[in-house]
Parts: sequence; structure tokens; C-alpha cells
Amino acid sequence: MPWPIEPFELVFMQRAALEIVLLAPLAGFIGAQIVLRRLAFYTHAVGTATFPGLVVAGPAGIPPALAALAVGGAFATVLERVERLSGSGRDVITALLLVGALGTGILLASDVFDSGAGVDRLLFGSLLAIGAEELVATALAVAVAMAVVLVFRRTWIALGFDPANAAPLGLRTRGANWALLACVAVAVIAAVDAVGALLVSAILVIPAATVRLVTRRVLSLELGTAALALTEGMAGLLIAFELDVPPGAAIAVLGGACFALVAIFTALTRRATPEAVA
Amino acid sequence: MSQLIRMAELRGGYTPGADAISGIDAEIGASQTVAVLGPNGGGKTTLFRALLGELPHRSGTVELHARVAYVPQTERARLDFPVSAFDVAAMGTYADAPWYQRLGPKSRRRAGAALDAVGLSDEADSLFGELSGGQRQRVLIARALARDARILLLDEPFSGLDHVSAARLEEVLAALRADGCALLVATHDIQDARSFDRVLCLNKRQIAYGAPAEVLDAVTLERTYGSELITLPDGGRAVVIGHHTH
Repeated sequence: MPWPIEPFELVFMQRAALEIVLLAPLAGFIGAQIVLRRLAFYTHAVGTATFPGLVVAGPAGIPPALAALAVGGAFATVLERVERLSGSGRDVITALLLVGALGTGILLASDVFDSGAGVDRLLFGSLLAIGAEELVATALAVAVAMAVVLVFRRTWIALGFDPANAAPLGLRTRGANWALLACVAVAVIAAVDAVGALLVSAILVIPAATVRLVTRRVLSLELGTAALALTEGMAGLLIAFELDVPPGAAIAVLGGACFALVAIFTALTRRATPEAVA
Repeated sequence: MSQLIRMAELRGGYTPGADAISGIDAEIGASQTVAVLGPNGGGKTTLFRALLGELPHRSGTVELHARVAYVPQTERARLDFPVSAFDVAAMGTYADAPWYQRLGPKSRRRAGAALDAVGLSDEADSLFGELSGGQRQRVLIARALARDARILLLDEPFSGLDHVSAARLEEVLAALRADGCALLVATHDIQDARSFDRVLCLNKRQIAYGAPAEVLDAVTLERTYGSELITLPDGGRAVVIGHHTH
């Protein structure tokens, strides 16, 4: 069987590929909202916040997805409360909680694990070691998130375009905002198995940010992002397989390089256009 | 002329016991235009929020006999958002379309007709952020019209527009008026207010409501604007507008 099909004859590669196929629509529809609503830092922080939960989950016998959901949810709630009570900016509080979650996770890991290998896996993912249970958990998370997208997508678009004046259009904005933050948390938890707590942005932010550079409509942003996330995921997986490097990191580096290329291309095109007209 | 709005002893605000507006008594009919005059912080936006049913604390009477929609200033919208003029107009139909369905032909027809009513059918596919200020203002009016609203609350719609855009917008508002809409326009332009059917002067409370010829006298304007009012060399009056954020 020819390359690049051949590696996918292996069961662990098939599972990894299926995980990426499941995550692609999340990257498309939730990733688009993350970029349009400027929630990239929040997404990164929720991903990091799941780390202490994941550290404790294994030894305590708690399902990792449940632990990640609990900690991610607590993070979002604390973020909202502290922001309101302290009056500090959202980014400051997010950074504070992010560092706190990462430090707590490392402290817990130092007692819980004998070696640092487990920490690496939790922080940077284990796409090549995805099991059937993780695939089912991802499929469930994707189903829940996509159902929420179906209900709120239009309201999210109206809110993103004109936050102050979506409610007078008769839309239920309060529930929609909360649903978006919860949906991002669910998407993060779904992506953590594949790319780890620190690299969820590689799936949920970078593809959408890349496609945003070249799209002029929300739907094309969503569909284009899903396609790019799928392509980058598969390519990163193959690179990881061939070069024996961690797949989460390969996907992240590939995504970053792709973003840089598209950004340079669009900047050059934009600069060239007025000259062409003149 | 059928009545579309009746307000009686309307008062309210954002926290209990602290009224941002009070003593509002006005009846507004179909095809009537009302200029809402007042200083920054005088309660123009609060009045609009009361009519939209969004004021947290409200007492008195508000009767609305048609659907009401708000048309904000264009700079409140995100110009980098990837939506076309048609997409924005269609937002006016979102609340009426079931969440589990794609935007149906009826909604699309309403959005298209609304864009047509503001003279922007040709720009339906243009990105909102790439339109001129006047065109953006008209798209936001189309969004309100697509909501099937016959009462439009416009927040300083002429602010920042050049003469040509302002004239085009005036034509659109005149057509809406002829079509039976009631238009409430928050404005700082005292001269412009004279061309409206009614003027509502607000400074925390209703100072006056009536035809421009009855209302726009020196005493009422002084009570409405206080120190923000200046008298021009030709005898006209102008308002000094300070920095204002809602």
C-alpha cells in the first residue's frame, strides 16, 4: 500500500486519525467562534486549567474527561467571579489562574507520579496512544458541543457582530454567552487527549486564525477551518509517525508554520493590490 | 392616525430608587417622527431601553401597538466581522426563525426587502465593514426593518455622516415615515429637530413634548441643556457635545 496510506493500516494510527476526524468539526465551528469572539487566551487557559484535574484523575480512578470538565468548569466560574469582584481585566485574571493551575498541576504531579513522563503526556497529548474509551468520550463531547452550536450559532454571530445590540433583536444573549464559554470548555476537554493541556490551541485556535486571514464569511470560516484542522492533524500525525516525534507538537508546529505562510502571503497580496490598480 | 406608542408617568433606571428618567408622558402615532433632544446623560438611551423593555427598573405605563427595534450608531458594531450587508439585515429575522432550521425563504425575503427599502440591494453581498458610514447606518436600519418593526428608535443616526450620506438617510427615513413607521430619533441637532413632527426634550425628566414650534423656545432649551447650550452670533442655538460613552 502506498505512502501515506500505509501507516494507517496500524490500529493506533487509525484511532489517532479517527480522533482528528472527530475534532475537525469542533475546530471549525467552535474554533471560528473562539477567533471571532477573541476567546483564544481563554481557550488556552481552560486547556491549562484541566491539567491539575488530569493529574489527579488517573491515580484517583476518576474518568479523565470528568476531572477535566470539573476543573475546566471551575476555572471558568472562578474567572468570572474574580473578574467581577476584583475589577481587574479579564486577561490579567486569566493569566493568574493559568499560572496557578499549571503550578498546582506540577506540584500534584511531583507526589502522584514517579517520573515526569506522565506530565509530558498530559501537557502535550498522546494522540498515538488514544484508546477506544477516549474515542467514545471525544465523540460524546463533539455531539454535545455540536448540538449547542446548532441551537446558538445564529445568536453567537449576532452577538459577535454587535454585542450591545443583539438583545434588542429579540435574542437570548445571556444564555448564549454562557453556552459559548461552556462549549469552549467542552471542546477543550475533547482536544486534551489528542494534543495535551498546553497545546489545545493547535486544534481550536490556530486553524481558525489561519483561515480567518483569507475568508470573508462566517460559514466559509467554519468549513475552511474544519478542513484545515483535518489536513494539519493528518499531516502532523504522519510527520510524527515518520520522524518519531510527539504528534501534538508536530500538529502545533505545522499549524504555526501554516499560519505564518498565509499571513505573509496575504500581507504581500494586500501590499501588491494597490500597485496593480495604479 | 393610529397610535403606536403611549407612555404615561413613565419613570425608571438601572438601580432601584435611582430614576434615570421620570415624568415621561407622550403619545406617538403611525407616520410620526419624534426628535428626542437632551444632553449627554440626559436619559435618551434610557428612554429607548425602557421602550425596548430592557430597563431593569421601570414604573408607569408603556403601551406599544407595534414591534419596536433599535438602530444603534454604526461604530458600536465590529467592522472586522465577516458578515455581508445581507447577513446583517437577516439578523433582524433570527429571533423569529426556529433554531433548528436554516434561515428559510421567508426570512431571506424579509431581509432582502429590508435592504431594498434602504436602497442597498446592490450592496447585499458587500462586507459590512467595507461600506461607507452612511451605508452602514442604512444596513442597521434594514436589520430593524427585517424584524418587522414599525417603531424605530434611532440613536444619533446622522452622527459623523457627510452631507450626501445624510441626505440619502433622510430620504430613507422619509420613506419609512410615509410607510407608516413611527421614528424616534435621538439627536443633538436642534436645527434639525425643527423638521420633525414632534420634539421630546429630556434632561433626566421630560422637559417638554409637542410640535417643534411650541417646544423649541429659549426657555425649554435652557432647561433641557443648561450650561451645554450656547447662543450663536446669528441668534441660533447650539449644543456643546462632550465625550460620551453609553
